[in-house]
Parts: sequence; structure tokens; C-alpha cells
Amino acid sequence: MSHCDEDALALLALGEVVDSRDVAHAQECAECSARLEEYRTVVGVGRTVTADDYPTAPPAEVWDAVSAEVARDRASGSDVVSLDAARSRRRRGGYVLAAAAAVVGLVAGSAVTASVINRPESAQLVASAQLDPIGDAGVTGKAEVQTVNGTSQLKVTVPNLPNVNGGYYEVWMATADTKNMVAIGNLNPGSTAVYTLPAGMDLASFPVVDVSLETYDGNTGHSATSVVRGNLNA
Amino acid sequence: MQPSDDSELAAAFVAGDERALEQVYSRWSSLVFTMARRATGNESDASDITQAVFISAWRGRSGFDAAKGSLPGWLVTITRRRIADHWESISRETRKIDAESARLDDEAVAGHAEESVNRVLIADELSQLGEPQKKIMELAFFQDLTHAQIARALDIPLGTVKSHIRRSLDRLRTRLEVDHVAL
Repeated sequence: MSHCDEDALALLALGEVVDSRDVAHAQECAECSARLEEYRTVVGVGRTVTADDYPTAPPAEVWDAVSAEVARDRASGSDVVSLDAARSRRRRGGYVLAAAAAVVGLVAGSAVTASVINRPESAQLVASAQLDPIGDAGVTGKAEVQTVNGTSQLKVTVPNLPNVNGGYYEVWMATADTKNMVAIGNLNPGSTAVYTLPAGMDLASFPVVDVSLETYDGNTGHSATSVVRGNLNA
Repeated sequence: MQPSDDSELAAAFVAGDERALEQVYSRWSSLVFTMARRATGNESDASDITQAVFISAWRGRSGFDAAKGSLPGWLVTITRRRIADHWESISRETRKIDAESARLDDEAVAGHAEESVNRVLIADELSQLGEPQKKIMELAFFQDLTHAQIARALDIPLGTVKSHIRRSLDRLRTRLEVDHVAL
């Protein structure tokens, strides 16, 4: 006989009694026995379905959280973000950190002259800044811009930067009013970081060096939690 | 934009249209959430997983390939991964000294989560069956009625009941298959 009647295979999978010729064929025919197995799997799963397995909608907060996250992504689509915007985004998203309040209006930083760290012979110091503590971080640091063979480098050191669990530090350069910020790179505690600045980076426009505490939240914008900041032109 | 079908919706989603994200969410968040709820056993973890699934789908939308499967199938795949990640993180926290029993536990948990997800897929597909197919399958699955009993109960010809059962099983089988391989 040719292949099983497919309806019979379906009934067989459900445990019904079917024509013995269909049963015999299903045992011999690879194709039909494979199909029977698949039906049996479906029946096995189907028979254990309970009322709780029928889809129910998630709480409304889930969409709120998704759309807030997407809005943050949109706003920080570029690495150049306004700190004010970052701050208000965090607030809307419920991520306000206590220290954020301390950021407001604090374009700190004091004048600094040359004095520094392992400069190669060819390097020329262009500007430097003392990095003053922001909020309750209580640490200070130093930033220098130097040119090495025509390339601008930013060197940042913040001794005594505490280790953080679940977070990291990021260096930014900002306009004097901190409305626009450019992400420069991450900074590990206990090390001096040297970053090559973009060729077109205008120090007069972005004189502020800022180090922020970031969490691994996938948000590329400034966390609004700064630990030190200084002004290269001060 | 009012996408008329899933493929247009998927295209708009991939293109970064946030209104498409909203529609994708309204169509499939119940499925994602319920899979996570059944696999983790609590609504709070399920909410977190649902949020993570839609965020990572949105951020990874360029990785969706319509040629390889449907958008809901892709979401189900992401959901399975997120559920697996969830159990993995719990198992890391409670890692036992006996590595072998830990491994067996992990496998049991993974198997349980997989079955939960499959049950939700089948429940979802059952709920989308029209009538009288839905009623027929409920009687066959949950009341253990034979097709002859179902035919009598619903006053439908025997042959019609048989072919409804077979087509419905085909549909459920396809749903399990598709959402397994869609990557």
C-alpha cells in the first residue's frame, strides 16, 4: 500500500485506534513514522497546555521601560550629547543618581601650568588642567593635551580613583557650558590613559575635561555622574 | 505607516521606524512575556526578560533576516536565549561544588524551560485556530475525546473532524518547527 492516510496518522498520534494496515505501514515507512513522531511531539506538548500557558500581556511598565530606553538610544545616537539632556533623560528613566545634583553649574577646574608625566622628547605640551573633585568623589587628577608628531593626545591621570563594581569611568571633553560632550574613552583606576584626539578637535570649543562614572546599561550618553572635571583654558 | 502584513511590519522595524517597534511590541509582547513567565515562574523576571528581548531586538534589528524566518520566530529565538541567560546567571550564583550534579541540574532546568516555551507556542497557536477547529482540538487534547465522540458532541461529520484534526496538528507542528529554526 502507498503512504498512510494522513488523517489516520494524526489520529494515531492522539492515541486512537486506526486501521491496522495504517499502523503496519507507519512502522515500516520512514517518512510516515517520522511524521507520526512529529505529530506525537505536538500532541505531547498540546496535552500538557494549561490555562496559564495562553499568552497574557506584560504589565504596562514594560512598554514604558522599552520606549524610554529607545528614546535614550535615539537621543544619544551620536556620541556628542548635551549633559543637560543626559541628565534629564536619566531622570525620566528613573536613573537619577544622587551625585547628579552636584554636577549642576560646576564647571570647575583651575589653571594649571606645565609639569608632567613621562613626556616623549618629541611631545609638546599644549594645555593642561587640574581635575577637581565633583560631588563626593573626593579625588583629583590631571589632564594634559600634547602634540606628538603632529597628533594631539589627551593624557589623563586620576590617582586614587576607586574601583567600582558594575561600572567604569569614562573621559569626556565638553564645551565650557557642558552642553555638548564628546566621549573620549574609558579610564581604568590606577592607570594613566593616553587618548589620540580627533584631528579636528578644537580645544577652544571643548576645553572641559570630565571623568564620569558609568554603568553597563548600554547607554552611550553621559551618566550625569561626574567624579572630576577641569578646564584646559582656565 | 500602517503595515498591512507581517513582512511590511518587519521591513519598517528593520528600517528603524519606532512606530513599527510599537506595533511589533503590541503584537508579540504577550507571547514573549508569557514564555518568560512560564519558564521562570515569576512575573518580575518575565517583565525584565520581555524588556530585554525587545530592546535587544530593536538594537539588533539589522541582524534580522526575513529570508531566514519570520519576525515573531526571531523574537521567540531571542526570548529562548534570554531565558537561557537568566537560568545561567542563577546557576552561576548558586554553582555547586559537585560539578556533575550542577551540570545535570542545568540540563534539567534548560529542558524544563524549553518545554515551557513550547507549551506557550502551542497555546498561542491553539488560540489562533478558528472554530470549530479550536473546539475540536480542545476536546481532543484536554478531554481526550476520540474523533467519533467529537463528531457526535459537535454534530459535525466524522470526515470533517478527522481532517480538521490533521490540519490543526500540521499547523501546530509547523509552528514548533518554524520557531525553533528561525534565527
